[in-house]
Amino acid sequence: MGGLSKKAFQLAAIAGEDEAKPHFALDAGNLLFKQGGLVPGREGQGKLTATAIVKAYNAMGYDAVAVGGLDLQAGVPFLQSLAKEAKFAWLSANLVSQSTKKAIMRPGVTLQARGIKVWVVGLTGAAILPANEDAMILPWDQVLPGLLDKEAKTHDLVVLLSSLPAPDNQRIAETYRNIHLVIQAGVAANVISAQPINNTVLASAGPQGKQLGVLEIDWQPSKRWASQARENLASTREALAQVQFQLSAIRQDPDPETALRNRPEQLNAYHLLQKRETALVADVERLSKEVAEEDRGRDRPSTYRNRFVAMEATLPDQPQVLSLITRLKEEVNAMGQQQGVASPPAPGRQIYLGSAGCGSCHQSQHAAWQATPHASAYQALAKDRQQFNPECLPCHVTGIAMDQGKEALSLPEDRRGVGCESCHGPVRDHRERRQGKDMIRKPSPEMCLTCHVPPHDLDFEYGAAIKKVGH
Amino acid sequence: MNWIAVVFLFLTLHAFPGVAHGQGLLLFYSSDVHGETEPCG
Repeated sequence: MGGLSKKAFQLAAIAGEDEAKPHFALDAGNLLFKQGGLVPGREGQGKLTATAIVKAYNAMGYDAVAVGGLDLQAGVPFLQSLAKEAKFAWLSANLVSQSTKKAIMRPGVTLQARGIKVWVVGLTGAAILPANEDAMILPWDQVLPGLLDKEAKTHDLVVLLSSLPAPDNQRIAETYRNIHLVIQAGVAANVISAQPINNTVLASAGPQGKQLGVLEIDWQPSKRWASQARENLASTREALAQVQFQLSAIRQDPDPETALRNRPEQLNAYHLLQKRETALVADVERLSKEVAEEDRGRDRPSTYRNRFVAMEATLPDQPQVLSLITRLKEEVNAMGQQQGVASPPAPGRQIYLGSAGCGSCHQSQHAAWQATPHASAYQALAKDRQQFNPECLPCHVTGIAMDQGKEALSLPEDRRGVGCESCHGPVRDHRERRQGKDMIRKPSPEMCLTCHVPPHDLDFEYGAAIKKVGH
Repeated sequence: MNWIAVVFLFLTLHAFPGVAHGQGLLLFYSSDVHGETEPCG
C-alpha cells in the first residue's frame, strides 16, 4: 500500500479529469501521530514526520483539516507552530483554553466555489493532552448549536469534520438537518459508503489514509438531499401497507368496535393501529408532495455520488510530495543514527547468541537461512537508507521488542537481520546446556504476524511463508 | 409591473440556480493518517 505521494498523485489525477468542476480536499483529523501515543524516545522522529505531513498536505492543496484527538499528543504549542506552516484551515470548535474557554484553533472556515458558499466546521474527539496544558475538549453540544445558529443561515452547504465517537456523529446527523455532510475520523475499521440520515450524509474514509473518499455533489438551492424524500416515501408506504394488512383482518367484520367490545386488549390494539394508519397516511401524503415537487423541478433536490480510491503501491508518485517524504526519511534516519551512537546498549548478560553461533552446530539450517530474505532484512533497510529508523528497525533485526526500537539503533553486527533467534527464541542457554527443550522448533503464525502485517505485508499466508523460509 | 421588472424577476428566478448551483462539486475526504507517510522499505 502506497503512502502520501500516491495519494497526492490520485488527488491531482481525479481533480484533473474534470477541471471545470471545483474541488475541495478535507480531512477529518488524526493526521499527525499514531494511535497509542507519541512514543517516548522517538518524539523527535514523530515531530519531524508530523511537520512533513503538514507540508505534504500543503502540496496536495488541502482546504481544511480538523484537529483529531490524536493530533494533540505533542501538545497545543506544537500544533499551533504547525498551524502557522499550514496553508489549509486547521479547525476545532471545541478545543479551548482551560483558563479562558476560548477556541484555540479556528472553529470553522468558509470555502467558496462558483457561488456555493460552504462552511466547514471541526469537532475534536477525546484527546490525549500532555500534562499542564492550558487546553481542554468541550462537549460538542456546548459549542455546535450556537455556531450553527450563526453560520448555517449564511452558507449554502455545511460540512462537519469530526473525530467524535460514532454515536455522537450519528446523533448530530439525526438532530441537525442544517449540517449536510459529516465526515468522521477514527470510527471505522474499513471504509463505509456515505449514508444519508435525515438531511445529513455521514461519510467515513477508513483508517490510516489508505483510501481517499470522493463525493461528487450536485448541490441545489433546496439544500436537501434527493434520496431522503424518495427513500422515506418508499419505507413509509411499506409501513402503511403492513399496518393496513393487519387492519384488514380486523375490518373483515363490518363493525369491529362492537365485535371487539368484550376483548379490551384487541380493541386497544385496533385503536392503536388506526392511529398509526392515520399518521402514516398523512406522512405518505406529505412525502408524495415533496417528491412531486422535486419531479416538477421547482425544488430540485441535491444529489451525490460516493466512491473510494485505494492508494495502490503501483500508482505513480507525485514528485513534490515524494521529494518531501524522501527528505523526511533521510532526516529520521540521521536522527536515529545519532541516538544510536549516543546511547549504546547497557552492558549485561546478553541472552542472544547471534546467527553465526547457531551455525557452528546447525550448518545446513544456517546455510538455508542465509538464502532467505530474513538474512538480508537489515541490508534491505540500509539500501533504502532507513537502517536507523526506529519505526522500521524492530522487524529487520533479531530480538527486539516492538515497543520503542531504540535499542535496535546500536545492535552488534550479528543481530542485524532477522536471524535464527527471531523465530526460534533466544538460545544462549540452549548452547551452554546443549538442550533443545528451551527453544521454539516451529514459529507460530502469531509470531510471524508481529511483523508480517499490512501495510508492510499485504498478502501474508502462513503455510506458504513457512515453506519459503523453512529448513 | 413594467417589462424591465419582469425580465429582472425572470433572471433572478431562473438564471441563478443554473449559475450558482448544479454545476457539481468534487469533494475529496480522508482521515486517520496517523503519522503514516509510507510503509518501511
